[in-house]
Amino acid sequence: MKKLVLVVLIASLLTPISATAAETKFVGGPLTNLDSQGATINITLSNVPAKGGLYLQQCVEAAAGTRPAVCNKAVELWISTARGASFLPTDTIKFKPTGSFVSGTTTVDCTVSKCGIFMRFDHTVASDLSEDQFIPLSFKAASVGATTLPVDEITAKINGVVVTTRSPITLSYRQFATVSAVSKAGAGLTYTSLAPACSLNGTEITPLSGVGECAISVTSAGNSNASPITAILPIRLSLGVQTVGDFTIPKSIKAGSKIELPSLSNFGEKVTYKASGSCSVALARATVKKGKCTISATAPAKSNTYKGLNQKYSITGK
Amino acid sequence: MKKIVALILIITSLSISSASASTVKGSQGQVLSVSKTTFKDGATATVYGKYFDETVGIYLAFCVIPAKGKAPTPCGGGINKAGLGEASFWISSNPPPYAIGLTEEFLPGGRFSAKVKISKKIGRFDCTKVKCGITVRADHLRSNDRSSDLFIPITVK
Repeated sequence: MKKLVLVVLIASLLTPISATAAETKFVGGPLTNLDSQGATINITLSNVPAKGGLYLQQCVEAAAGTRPAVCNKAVELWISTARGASFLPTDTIKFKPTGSFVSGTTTVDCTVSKCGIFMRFDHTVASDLSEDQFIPLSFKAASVGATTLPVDEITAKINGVVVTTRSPITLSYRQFATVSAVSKAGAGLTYTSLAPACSLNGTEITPLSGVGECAISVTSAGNSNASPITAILPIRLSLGVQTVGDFTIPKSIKAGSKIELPSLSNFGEKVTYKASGSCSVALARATVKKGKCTISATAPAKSNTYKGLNQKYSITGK
Repeated sequence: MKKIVALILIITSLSISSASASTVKGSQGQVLSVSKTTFKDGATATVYGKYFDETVGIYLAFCVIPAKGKAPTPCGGGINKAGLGEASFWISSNPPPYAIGLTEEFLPGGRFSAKVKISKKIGRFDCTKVKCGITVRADHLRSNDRSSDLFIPITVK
């Protein structure tokens, strides 16, 4: 009896936990005897959790308990109500797998390897594996002479930091940021903001919120050497840093001098100044006397957008 | 003499209140202000906004004030999908591709300022007879979203 319990326990550990816990119901077809090129699987999803979007990928089945790592990036779909998604969760989804594909340096032949549709939560809940599901696919043998164009590879950076679907970057509200990307095949690239929380002007990103997430997509048009691909660059948003702009105060100044202080912060909040020691502040103007002085600048926070300002300046009147 | 002084004070205070600045606050904390609330036909009102949600584009316009829960319409200058006009403005930090360059961006902190033309007539409506005002609504990308609506009634002389 103990042996039986042990076998059941081991078997349950080997089975991917997520596959049994997934809420999303997948209905689609055809799933077998697919053409190597030009196949389309019509998919409808139901019970899609509201906490995040989904990715549908064509991957080689991974060992039990692990996520697939060899996937066909060219056919990946983003299922979400967010702007820029490939399909809404309520749409009839057209998924177009291929009988062979290139992943990194690996060429996959799905008539030999066990390929399938891997469904998972998107980058907004990247660490949540509860929607992981693998739906096996089978393909007809490819006709003789058919060639597979490798998928282009995009290396993208935001503010000089490499960003991928699985390694987001964090930007604060109104933080200056630029995106740059390189196509391995030398194909043309286009950039698009996928969410209203970030605006994109050329390659300049402006985060417009201090909470949540946004994403930038970079699409390679492909060329004679590589097929097209879209890379999604997730951005996590954090509260903005409120300052009095580029304003600086000298460490020492002639006694009796007056210093004009900025009346508004970089986010337009009214700045309140208080002086202690050998100085006084009136109408955003400091008058420094002989001795040490501290001027504190404060401004209110805005929820979900930026932090309050609380800055101190020390100055000596000589 | 005291009565005359009191009368002058009352008249002065009434005239100040009818023409003084007005501010309204929205459900999401956004604030809309106008420099004064009484204008002559053809004058311009200086309008300020702050704490607006920068992820949502808005129309700022001089319109007939609608019934509760309805979108403001008609508006001076009509629906302004072409960008900036004298009586209506499209303010968006994330406009659709076709509108890039046609909209005015929010300033940091969800701020904007604009000079809105006030007119006695909006189409067939006479603003000396019906209620007109400075209005804000979500842009046509969220045309059914009434959560951004704000109104400041304006008296047109």
